[in-house]
Amino acid sequence: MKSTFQTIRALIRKDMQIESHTREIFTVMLVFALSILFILNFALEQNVKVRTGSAAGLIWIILILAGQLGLNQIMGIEKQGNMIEALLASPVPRSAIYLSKTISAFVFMFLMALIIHPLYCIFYNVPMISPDFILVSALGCWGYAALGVLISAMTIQTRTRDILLPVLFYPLIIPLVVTTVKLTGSILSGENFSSLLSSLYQILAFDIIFTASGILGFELIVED
Amino acid sequence: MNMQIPKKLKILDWFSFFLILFTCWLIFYKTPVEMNMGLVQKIFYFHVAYAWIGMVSFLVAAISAIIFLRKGLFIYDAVTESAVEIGLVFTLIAIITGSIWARPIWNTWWTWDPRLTTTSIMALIYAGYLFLRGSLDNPEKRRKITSIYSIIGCLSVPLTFFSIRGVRSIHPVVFGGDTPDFNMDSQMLRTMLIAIAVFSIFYIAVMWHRIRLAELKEEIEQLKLTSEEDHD
Repeated sequence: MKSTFQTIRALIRKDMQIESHTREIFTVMLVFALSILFILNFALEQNVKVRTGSAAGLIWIILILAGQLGLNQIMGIEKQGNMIEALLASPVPRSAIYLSKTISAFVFMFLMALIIHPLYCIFYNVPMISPDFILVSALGCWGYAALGVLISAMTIQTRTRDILLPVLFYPLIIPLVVTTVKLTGSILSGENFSSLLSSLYQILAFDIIFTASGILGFELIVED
Repeated sequence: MNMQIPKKLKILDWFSFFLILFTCWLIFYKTPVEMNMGLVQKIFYFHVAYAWIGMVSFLVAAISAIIFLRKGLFIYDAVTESAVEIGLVFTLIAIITGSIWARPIWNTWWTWDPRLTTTSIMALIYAGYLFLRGSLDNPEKRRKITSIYSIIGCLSVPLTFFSIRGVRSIHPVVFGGDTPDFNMDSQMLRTMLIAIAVFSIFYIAVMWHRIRLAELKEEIEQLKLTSEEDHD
């Protein structure tokens, strides 16, 4: 058990070191997210009501679209120079590879959520900062990363990898997105957090189902 | 493998053909016209049957995918592939027929009702399955990866329904519901059940044909591989 944790930690460190050298994941995601944030300004014009009322949905649309770039790359870096084969040849449990990739993707997504949310509030002048958003973001980003890494592991083996990921991933992630957006919207509109616990448990259940599917399915997907 | 269509399958083809003709006669000539909706309600006998078969087909796909992952036998992958393809066609027809019915009754082609939304998302998920299958070259990988995807797809459908069930539904509940404008008399209910049974028999016939096609394709692939090895 201890060695599995050490393996996961080592694999995450590897991903983070690659990212710190190349800046191909988080930086790209962030710049892309900011671009959408600016495009929204022209789409929404000066309609303050729309900006405030649709804030939860718009923030998550930005995160989902930008997160997809990260998912493409998080498994894609292993494909470059056939690093994935070296990784699979090493005596490392497949579940450890899956969990390390999920944690790395989660870290990138969560950091982006923490940046994009206040930026949305600043750019669109909507006073909606709430600490509860951090918990909801964490749960939403985990579910996104857990299922995203699994689907990304499938699509990197196809001919049309980058195109196929959103086609497969978006319809599957809809239940998580619907619940997370609903919960974020309720928090931002100032509803009492204790009345939203059932939605929170629902996101938690999705996270558990997606993570369990990933741990069980990843080995079958990557093995030759 | 014998290229000839088996005799039993030919009998099933003709049997389902005549049963469908009989069901159409029942629907259009023997079942009374619904009082409030009029003739357009008759589309429901087809719509419910197609929607039912679509859902059952995706369930068949997930179950055969699980068995394939456990046993590794080609036939179960062929069943999954066939069930997804046919299920998708039936689901799309169910969505279109539902939309045609909704236009005069709800005064709109589309509403974001949980059932409509879930069914459409289900169709998108399984359309993805076909894209995934088409872009994987290695047959072993293709079978494993698409099996896992079809299981995850089947898991995601009820989750989607639960996540949007809070939205007020205007979709009539045909069986066991209390929708005031959708109380069918016994004759209508009997026709509905016959239509579901008949189209289920038709589904079995189509599935049989599609599985045979998958087996023939597999045989051609194997022959190609053997001839390439002989050339080498």
